[in-house]
Amino acid sequence: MSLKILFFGQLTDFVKKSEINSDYYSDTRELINFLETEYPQLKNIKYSVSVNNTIVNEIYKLKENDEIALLPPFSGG
Amino acid sequence: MKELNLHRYQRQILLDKFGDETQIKLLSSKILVCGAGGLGSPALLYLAAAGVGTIGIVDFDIVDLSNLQRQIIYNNNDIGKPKAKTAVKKLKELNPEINLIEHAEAITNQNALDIISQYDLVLDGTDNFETRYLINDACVLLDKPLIYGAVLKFEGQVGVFNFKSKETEYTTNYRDLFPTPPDPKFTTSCNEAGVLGVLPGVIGTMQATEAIKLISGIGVPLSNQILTYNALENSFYKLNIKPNQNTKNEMPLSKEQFLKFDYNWFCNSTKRIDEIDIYDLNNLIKSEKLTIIDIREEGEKPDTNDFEYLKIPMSRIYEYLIDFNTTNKIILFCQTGKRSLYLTEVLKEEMPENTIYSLKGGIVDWVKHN
Repeated sequence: MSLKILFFGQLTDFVKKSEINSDYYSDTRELINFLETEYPQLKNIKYSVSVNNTIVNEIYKLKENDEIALLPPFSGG
Repeated sequence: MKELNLHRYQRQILLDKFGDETQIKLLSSKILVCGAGGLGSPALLYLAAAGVGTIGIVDFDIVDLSNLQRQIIYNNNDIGKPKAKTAVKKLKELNPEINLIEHAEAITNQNALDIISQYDLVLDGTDNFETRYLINDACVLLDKPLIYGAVLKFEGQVGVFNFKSKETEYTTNYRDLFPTPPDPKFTTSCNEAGVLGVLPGVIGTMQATEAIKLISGIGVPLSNQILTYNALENSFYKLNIKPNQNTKNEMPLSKEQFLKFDYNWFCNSTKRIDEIDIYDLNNLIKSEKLTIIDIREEGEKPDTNDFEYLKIPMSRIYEYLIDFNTTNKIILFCQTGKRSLYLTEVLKEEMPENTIYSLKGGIVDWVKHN
């Protein structure tokens, strides 16, 4: 039972990795609660969430082995 | 049209699916590049070289020594010179057969619609969130495709917004990907965090590639997608974007609204910490005593029995405020979260001792999810 989570941009600075595996959580909200407890700095950062390569805007039900990505905006040009 | 000398473009005309016809499409196209910096430099060079017939350049800035590490259109002799004018001069030397237009000014909500409406598509190479939201909204209003690119440190993003390709039935824009800007307290720019010089080279070149694909109709564009590139790990990751209904409430939907929209406020205000969403509310209800107030006028529906709340219409809130005394967290809600957010900001000044939140999405969102 696990999920794969990918981090982008500044988020990798807080997590110190670009990829982790976590236990299973039933939806994105629960997963994010877990991640924000584990890595409190995530709370301060805006990011979008994707499940299996599609951005999800609301709470999204997760299945085992889903791949979740957290993508922050950046503005450099 | 001037007599065409297609010999210049011979190597790309040779390509399958290209030919004279596609070259003529490029020569007839008009592209606006916003920001002649790290992303704009390579994009401009390749678009001019490829024979894009009209290229507009928006930039108010002047060349600084610290730009030269990545803004490869300029050289040491250009330090102190205006970017838009200098870039035009360089591109004329590269390809005298194309038309170059200099917009040596900052793009604002007052001039954006006039400038952008003169072009077929826009390439965003700007360096701040205010301008990115502004250009996005202008492109949505004018129905112009927008080629987005952004970089930080060793990582970049590229995508195509507001463009309906053969493969897609809908269009998306920057606000579907990032509905609200990040809190400026917690963002870092290239000025602070740095950027590998070659990285905007990669991303800006990809933006130019997408522009040429859109104009010529060859290949599959990054429409409704965002592609990330990590230079350290050599990794690419592609994400699909779907339309996000909630963003429609936040963005200007008419020219009049656009002209009045305060992008500086939108990107720098503290409003996001004044809001909680329905899930936060659900957790708060379980964990502590709250004073929840419905600020809608009498008779507005829907109602809910999920939690207890007071009914104090916004129009009469001051009558109640006088003897309002609570140490509870106060949650205000209305229909969709707009009026309650406004009132939250007003009341925070009146009642600095209290913690006040607005329910994001309003009671409509609550009822939909409970």
